[in-house]
Amino acid sequence: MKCEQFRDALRAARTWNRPDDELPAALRQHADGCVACRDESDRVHRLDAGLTAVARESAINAPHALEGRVLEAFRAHHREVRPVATPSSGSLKWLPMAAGIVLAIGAAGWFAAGQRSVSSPHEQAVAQSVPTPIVPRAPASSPHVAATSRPAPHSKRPAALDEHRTARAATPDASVATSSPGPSAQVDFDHEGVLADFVTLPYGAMPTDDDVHIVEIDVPRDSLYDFGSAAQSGAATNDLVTADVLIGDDGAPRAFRLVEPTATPVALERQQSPLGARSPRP
Amino acid sequence: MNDAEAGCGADAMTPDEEQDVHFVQQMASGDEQAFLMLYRRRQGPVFRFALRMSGNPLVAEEVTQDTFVALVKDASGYDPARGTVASYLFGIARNLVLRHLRQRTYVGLDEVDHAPEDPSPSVLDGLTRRADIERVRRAVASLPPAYREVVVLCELEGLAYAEAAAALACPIGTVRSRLSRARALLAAKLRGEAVGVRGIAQEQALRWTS
Repeated sequence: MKCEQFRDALRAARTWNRPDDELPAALRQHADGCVACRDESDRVHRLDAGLTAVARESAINAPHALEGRVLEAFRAHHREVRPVATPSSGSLKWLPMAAGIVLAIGAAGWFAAGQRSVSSPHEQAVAQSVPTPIVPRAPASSPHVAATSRPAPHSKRPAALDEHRTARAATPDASVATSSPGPSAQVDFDHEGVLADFVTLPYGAMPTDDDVHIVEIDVPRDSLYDFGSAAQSGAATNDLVTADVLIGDDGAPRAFRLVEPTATPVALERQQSPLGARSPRP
Repeated sequence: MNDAEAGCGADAMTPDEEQDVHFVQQMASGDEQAFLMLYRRRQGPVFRFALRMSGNPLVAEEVTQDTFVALVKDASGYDPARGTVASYLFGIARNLVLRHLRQRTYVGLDEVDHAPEDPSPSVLDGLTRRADIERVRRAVASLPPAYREVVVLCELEGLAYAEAAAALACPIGTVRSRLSRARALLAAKLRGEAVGVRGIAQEQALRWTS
């Protein structure tokens, strides 16, 4: 009876991974005195030793070539999976970003094209052709001055002069004809070259101060002869020409320059320039 | 020896086993290096298990390859709460091995019933010799699959009973009882005793239907 109990206890200890010294003392004492039970205990221990030895001896691995095959299977699987991946997978996360980039590039291109079309040479020429008022328009009631702010295409007005012009509040005044300041623009002169194409009036002197005004008027062409103007031509003498007139602080005209010929003979009688009156052509 | 009380879920995992879980998660998203690391860590035990179960190196190689390919195709099938990666791989390998064993007609019964490993009654006395170690190995290989697998997993690969139970998809108690029975069979074979045909046949029938 003791032998059977001991062998059951020994199997249970192995089954539960218990060491032999946890066996009841009475059973251990029985094994010490029982040859058959001691042999059984030795067999169990040797079997344990044998299994451990087998485990250590046969620590073999799969053939090395297998690694390459398995790895290729892994790559092939993921090559197949990627095209059918769901949008939530990492492999397709670039799609919205790519779409955004394409849209952004398209929008930028469209915008740049629009900018280019606006700033094309033709458009720039048109934009530059928009007249910048040189002087405030004279009131329609002004009897003698037909001021215009539209520069002539062939205007020889120095750019530097234009740049130095500053608008000044215009005062409707017909005294321009009598050398009094009228609708005018204040001009800051700090460069004598600006005045190079102005013709000094006989009674005047080229202003040297910075506080002068320029007015644009229409005058009969023949009234300019006495001042050495090159406006003389074969055209009718009653033609009006546009001229810039420099007026000093004292209100007296100092110089003029031809801007453009105008063809408004109808207005001739009504818009006789005082310049012409002062120096009528005989 | 194994710790029979050890758990097999994620809570009881060792750092190595947790690293395995990480590798599986990484390889599921296409990380080749993670797959390679996992393969290099676990190919040996899987191959040895397949070899000891099949007794054929070519079958073992095929089973090992199919095991990892199955993992590649369905990495999401692994649930850390149900066991370690190793036990999951052993479970796949076991199914593949058993498929091989079913396809051929049985092996083990004849060997177990009629071929004692050594006529010598004291084979265990010479276990220190290499030949005796080989006898033990052959004795293990001749065990019926239901016993062989628990011996291979628990005694040779060192899995805890809980891990083996997870791999074999059976209760821990079943692992213990089969292991106890397997050890008795091994001891008998190594003593040169013929093992009863009826007992083995009944166990195998039980194994195939479980």
